[in-house]
Amino acid sequence: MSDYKPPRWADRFLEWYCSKHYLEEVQGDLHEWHKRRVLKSGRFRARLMYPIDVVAYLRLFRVKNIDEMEKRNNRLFFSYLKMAIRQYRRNLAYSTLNTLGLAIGLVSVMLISLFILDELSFDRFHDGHDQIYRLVNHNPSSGRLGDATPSPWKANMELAFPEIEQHVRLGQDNVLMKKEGENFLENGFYWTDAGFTEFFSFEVLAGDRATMLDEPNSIVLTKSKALRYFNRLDVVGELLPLKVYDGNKEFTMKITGVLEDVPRNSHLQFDFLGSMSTTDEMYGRFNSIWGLNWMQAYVRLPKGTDPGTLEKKVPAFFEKYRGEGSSEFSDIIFQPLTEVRLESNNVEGRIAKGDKNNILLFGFVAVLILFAASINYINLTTAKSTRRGKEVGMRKVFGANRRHVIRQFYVECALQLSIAYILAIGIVVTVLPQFNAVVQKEMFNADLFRPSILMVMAGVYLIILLLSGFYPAIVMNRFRPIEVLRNSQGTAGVNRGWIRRIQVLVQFAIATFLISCTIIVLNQMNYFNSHDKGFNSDQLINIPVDDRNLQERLVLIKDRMSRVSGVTSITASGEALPSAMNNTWGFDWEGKPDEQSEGINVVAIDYDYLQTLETDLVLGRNISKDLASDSSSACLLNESAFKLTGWTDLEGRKVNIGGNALFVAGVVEDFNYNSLHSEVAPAAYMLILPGARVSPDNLILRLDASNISSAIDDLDDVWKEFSEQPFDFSFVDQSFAQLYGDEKRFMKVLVSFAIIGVFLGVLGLVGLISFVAERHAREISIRKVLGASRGSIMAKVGTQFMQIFVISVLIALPLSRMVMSNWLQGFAYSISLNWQVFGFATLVALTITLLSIGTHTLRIASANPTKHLSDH
Amino acid sequence: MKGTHLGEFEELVLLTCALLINSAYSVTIGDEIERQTDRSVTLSTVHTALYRLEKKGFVESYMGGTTKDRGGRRKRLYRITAAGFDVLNQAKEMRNRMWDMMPDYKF
Repeated sequence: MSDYKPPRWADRFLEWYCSKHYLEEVQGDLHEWHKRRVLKSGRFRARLMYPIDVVAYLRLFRVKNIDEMEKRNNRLFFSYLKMAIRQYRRNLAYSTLNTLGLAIGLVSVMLISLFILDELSFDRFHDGHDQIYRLVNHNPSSGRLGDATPSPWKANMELAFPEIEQHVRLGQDNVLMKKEGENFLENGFYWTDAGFTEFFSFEVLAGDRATMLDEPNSIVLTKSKALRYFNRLDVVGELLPLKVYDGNKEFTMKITGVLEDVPRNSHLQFDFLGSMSTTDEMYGRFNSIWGLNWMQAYVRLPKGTDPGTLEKKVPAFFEKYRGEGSSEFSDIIFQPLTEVRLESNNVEGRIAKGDKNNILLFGFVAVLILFAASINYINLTTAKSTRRGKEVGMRKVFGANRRHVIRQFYVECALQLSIAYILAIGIVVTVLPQFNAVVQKEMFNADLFRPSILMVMAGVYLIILLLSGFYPAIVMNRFRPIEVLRNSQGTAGVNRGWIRRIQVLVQFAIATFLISCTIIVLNQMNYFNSHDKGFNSDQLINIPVDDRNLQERLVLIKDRMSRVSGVTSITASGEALPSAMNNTWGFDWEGKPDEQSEGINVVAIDYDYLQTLETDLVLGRNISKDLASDSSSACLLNESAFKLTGWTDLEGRKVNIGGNALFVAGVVEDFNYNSLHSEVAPAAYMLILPGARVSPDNLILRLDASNISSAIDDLDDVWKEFSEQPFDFSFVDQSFAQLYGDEKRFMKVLVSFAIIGVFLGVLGLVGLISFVAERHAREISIRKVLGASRGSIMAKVGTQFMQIFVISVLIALPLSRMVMSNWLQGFAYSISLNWQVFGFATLVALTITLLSIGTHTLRIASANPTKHLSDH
Repeated sequence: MKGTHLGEFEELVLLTCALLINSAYSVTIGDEIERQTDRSVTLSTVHTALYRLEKKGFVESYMGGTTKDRGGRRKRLYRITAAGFDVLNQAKEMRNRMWDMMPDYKF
């Protein structure tokens, strides 16, 4: 008979889906049909066919309806949901607080995830981005890295590296756009090689992607610039006259293409692209100068090429094409495009950089917040549910089995969790625009629903659900109802002391860690502001003079401006303040080892430079007007250049800078031309006449604090006498502050999230304390009845927490030291991590702890013992 | 009239159902069709056809008694209704009419 039995699993499947209205006849018929088939074509074939028959019976009208499913699986589901809502409403304040706490944690985590994903998305929108490399100019002898490369690389690399598929360069130039009699200064103008638009995948709105930069005098501009200059987008074919400052040349450019605005998550940011062939006459001579670094360069390699094989050929390349021995101070690093944003900390250049350390720290904070929020949530939920032992008991008495109880508690937890999630998503959607404004990014709500974020969020949901439901659903469920019901407290007496202690420990450690990180970050921020730049930046303004014609009349302008009332002093300089300092010349000095090759930044100055900046000489004297020889053959070194020479005095010291023999008149205190991320580079200060690339092209003025605005108006008038360009100036202290703009913005965000984390931690502690207090209320009351004083009880509760506190501090502080010293390495000038920082962190953590738990402990200790004992 | 249209397979099922008095249900019908037409049928197709016929009012169903053969499960038996018989007759008459008009073919 058993031979006629169909496969059991197929039968089960039938029973699972088929509504009971049809099951009996269908199953009966199928069995009979099966038996018939066994007789006809054998058991094997019949068993093979049976599942197919079962599936063939799967019709919508035979499938169980929802009602039927509930009756079979979860008839009580809606009742559970109702109970859950009632529970939520009954403890509305408590539940809301709990849900809100979790929601805040989730919001923080979501925002941080969006931020990190955005940083990681940089430059990945280009087709074949994994084949594109940026060429980093590396000087092996000094170790300096820069994104600026010289002109001869491209032509020579095409000979030496046949594997390079395409090589494009970008050279920035300040240009003056002329439109309807008005002039606009544009900094986002780049000369670039033909094929740039094919090399990168910037979106083309008009024009031919393949050929738009082939012809000389072609210009491509972005959408917003097209709208600004023409107020429309179909501008291909229009003419755009422009003047190049550096070459002092005028061109009439023909527009050959319009691009969509460059996405924010591109490290390359530009407004205009001019065809490189336009510059042949102007910059053609650079093609043989290996030492003039001015262009960013990118190459595309065939798929799967290891850039390491190319890098191995680089020394031979320089030996052959640049000259023997040149490989000692020239090298090329092929940096993957996707690493440009986050791993260029040590590469000098003008592009905005991200910082991998910041991302890591941010991610770490996110994980901690998530941890703190989840632990809190689990704890508070669990603590509340321990009082529902009586309810579980009653349910069991009325016929619920363990499965029912498990389901009920999990439905409850899931409801609360879902509310927290919906709340969190709602908050994120509303605050994202503000968050975007703060971090200056363009992140969209839709990014929240990327698979990676969704998966993490779903995972977190499940983990929290499992853990928060574990205690009531599994542990309390095990008790025999009679015991729970007899116990008048309605609690299930179980000692989970060690778990609680570990939770408190983790909570304490997270809070202490975040506090300590916050303090260190704030200290570093403070350090930026108070750091002695080496000169006085108050009321100092910088006027760029980019026009070559004007530079030749700089003395005149300077003289006229110095007579404006409110100008305390004025000087000219070849470098703005702040400046990226990218004019490096070869540096030789008496007694320099032959094999060593050094570069030095050259800064053109005026006699009154040191006086205007209020910077000090460490050794020697300033360049003097009274000594005729000073004007052509004297220079000043900064401390870091002086240290490089290894000298101790200046007696008749001679140096050779870029082929000019000079004597060193004095040594100037080191001062930062740039942010504290980079160290002060060796620099030489000298007088240079107009006409050279490094000639003075900035006026630096110190104003009188009392009438700055009228002085600036007067300066504007003077400027207009000389130039048709708009008057442009900047306050030096503000410009320096802007160098840290990104940094500061990031730190502010980081600190706010850290504070949220600490807040969540404290919330958790308070919850735990109140729970402990409740659990021990009777014990404490008995102790008091037996004569314990308030002080001794507080000491008892207190020491328990103090022990945990000490252990968590011992864990958190070394961890934060490790993480933060790693972070501080991103700055050339950083605060030192001394014990005061950590002592202070401990103190803050302790104060917060005492404030949060002290009041509670006091309340327990001072409660009237009869209150808790009268039940018995 | 879409509702009362009789498909080819439905007609076959209805005919078989009429032949098997008091013992017509999916298995016997399927069995009979296989035997008569020498083609293999799927049980669920027969069943579905029966449901459809019942909906159109050509057959009616009732639960039969239990048999040991099916593990004590009852079966749903079908019998033809007057409307069902009518529609079979109509179909037959229509065919007869058409056959009567058939010219003499010699192949």
